Amino acid sequence: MEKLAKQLAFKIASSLNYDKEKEAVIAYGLIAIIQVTITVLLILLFGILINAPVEALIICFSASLLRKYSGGAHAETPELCTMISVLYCTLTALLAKYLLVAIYRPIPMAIAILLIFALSFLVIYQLAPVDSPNKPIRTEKKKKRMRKGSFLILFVYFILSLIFWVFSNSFAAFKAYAVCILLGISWQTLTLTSVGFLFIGKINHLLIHRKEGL
Amino acid sequence: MMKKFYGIIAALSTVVAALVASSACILFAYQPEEPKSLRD
Repeated sequence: MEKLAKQLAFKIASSLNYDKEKEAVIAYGLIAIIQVTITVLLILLFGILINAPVEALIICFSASLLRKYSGGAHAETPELCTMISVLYCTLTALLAKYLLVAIYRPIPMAIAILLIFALSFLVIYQLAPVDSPNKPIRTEKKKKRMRKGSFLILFVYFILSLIFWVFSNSFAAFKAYAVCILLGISWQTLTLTSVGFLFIGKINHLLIHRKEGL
Repeated sequence: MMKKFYGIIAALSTVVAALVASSACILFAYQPEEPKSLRD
């Protein structure tokens, strides 16, 4: 994906007589467009295959919108990132729709909502925003803005989860939607912690460095 | 014709790059190196 974006950016920059910096900006934007499009389409496709497209997309967007502000651990290639995202969203959507909804009870769900949100608020309060070497956050002003954004998004998700929980008796699908928001937030919160870094680091090691070493 | 198309792609990807620059990272779990002109 990155290679394709860079080749396309080179072609565009050569054709329009842009300098190297403008070419790098175009490549950066193209990587984002290509990766987000492919990942969302694959999650939608696999979601349709397991008959849970809405659930898979809720998990995807609840994690990724929070990630935009809170940052977190990163895969080393866009392909690996797409693979992890598609696998997590599809498998947990499957789990939510066919298992967790079957054992859904209002009181344990209320406890799960309170626990997961309390833990996420705490982790975000202590760690967010978590930057990466490829995109360090340099100014205090931006750090504050990212933290504020993370709290705001988490608060909106909390209200949405409560709405889904309150109306889950009238609309059966809301049970799965509430569970999916929790699964999306849990994943994103995990990637902020040292355990998340260790986990994604292991995947990077297993699938990239080991392959290179062979 | 091709130049016009490239111009549209360049403009669109520059807008997306600027949007990504204002966040902590790209939406998913991969972060390419940020170009110098987008750093704050």
